[in-house]
Amino acid sequence: MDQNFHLIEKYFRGELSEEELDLFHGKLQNDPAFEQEFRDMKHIREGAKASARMKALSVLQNVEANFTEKETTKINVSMRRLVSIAASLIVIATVSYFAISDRTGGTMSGEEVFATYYEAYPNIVSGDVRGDDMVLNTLAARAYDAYDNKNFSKSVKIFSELLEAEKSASNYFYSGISNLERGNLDIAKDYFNVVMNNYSEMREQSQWYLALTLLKDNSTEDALSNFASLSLRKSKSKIVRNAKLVLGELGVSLDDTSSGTAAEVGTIPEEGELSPDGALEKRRYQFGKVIEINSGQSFRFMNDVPFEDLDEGDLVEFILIKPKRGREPFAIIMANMN
Amino acid sequence: MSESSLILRLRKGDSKALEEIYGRFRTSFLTWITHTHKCTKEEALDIYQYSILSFYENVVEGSFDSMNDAGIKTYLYSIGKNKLLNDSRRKMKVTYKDHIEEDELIEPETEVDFVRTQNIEKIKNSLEEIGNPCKEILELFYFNNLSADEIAEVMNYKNGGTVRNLKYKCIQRIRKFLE
Repeated sequence: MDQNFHLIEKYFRGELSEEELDLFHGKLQNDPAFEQEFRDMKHIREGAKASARMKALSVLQNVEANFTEKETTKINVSMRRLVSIAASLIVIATVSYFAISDRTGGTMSGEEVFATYYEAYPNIVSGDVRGDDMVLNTLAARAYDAYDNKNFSKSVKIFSELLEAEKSASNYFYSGISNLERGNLDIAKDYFNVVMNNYSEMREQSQWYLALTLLKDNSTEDALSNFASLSLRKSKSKIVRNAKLVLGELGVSLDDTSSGTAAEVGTIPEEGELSPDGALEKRRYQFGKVIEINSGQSFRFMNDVPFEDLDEGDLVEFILIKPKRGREPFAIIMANMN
Repeated sequence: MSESSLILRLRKGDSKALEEIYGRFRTSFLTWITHTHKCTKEEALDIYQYSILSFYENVVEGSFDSMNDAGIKTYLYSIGKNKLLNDSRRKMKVTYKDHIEEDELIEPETEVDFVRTQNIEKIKNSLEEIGNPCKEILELFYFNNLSADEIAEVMNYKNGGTVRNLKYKCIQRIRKFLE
């Protein structure tokens, strides 16, 4: 292992002797490779700290979800964040909806679901918790600061600049929410979907907000497809639980997994139109028809995360979504069996 | 379980210890802050989580080795109270300035800050991508401030030497992402 690495590590731990400290400073000034390595390692250290903080916060949020679940009814869970007097009026209205829905199976409208379940996602990327080492005057810091202060018209502006310079899951995600808050539904849909299709993190959160955005935009089927896909996830997060509640409130039920053949497959936008880094900031989704293997019935399907290798004729596993009041059932594809 | 060993477990990044502390003071903290400082349950929860995280950060920075129940409680309460005061001050300031900020020009970025933010974001992503053991090792090293030997114990490695080798390789892998 190299000397520079050890020198830097010792520096971090504050263990350098005076002599070594002189060597360290000398190298920092005269050796560009050393300076680069030092800077990288400093950033890696900060990145690891930030990642540990995010992990700790999610531990706390998970415990809290358990507490809240135990001590309140499901109505209160979904209502947790609505605190104004106006909101408490909705609580009363919702209570009666629930009373009815127990018997008839779901009577909330999409609008009511949105009003009940939507809240801007708390900023876990940048905040007071990271300590005073963050310089506030960077573009990112200002974007997240505006977001923290719920100044969404400002955060929309700064995020769009930030995204030109730095594309990341969290930047797309929080920009998506800022745009949703400002009523720019199309941009919000694009950004949430970009996270789901191009990044490994924040996918669950993005899908939740995409589903809510679609609901607000009256694309009910697309919304249901995403709520259903969330509700089938194995994690026990608040989002997964809420997705199940939403389906219940909209009177939607899911069938067990069926097998069938993909009869028509389309993807928008098509592969060729997409630049490799996903820089085309457009919602990308897949749709078509599946034919159930035993009954021969055909159903439409829609997935916001396309299966890249899905071809017509492929054997797939799908789940049937049944909306209330005799509307046509439709499918989401769970796996390509080929 | 005594407090000092709870703190010891917390220092070693044991998330069960974090959950235990969270559960232990939750009810009294929430009751206290909602009654004495007139905030909503939701604000109270945010503040409680913030206080627990601050406590955790202080533990890993070695600010205290042992502390009894009453000590932790007092500590959490004082963090919570300050946070609440700061937040309400900040809110007032923002409301006051709101209409001016809309038109404020966006100042140019200094290149150094920009590279730094960009790098840290890249590193967080690459940590997710390469996952464990790298992620855990680096978090334990840099956030929890554990020694290689302590990490070997926590992660069941033969000895500190193995951890040091892994750490070196992990860092080289992440540096590739930064190129």
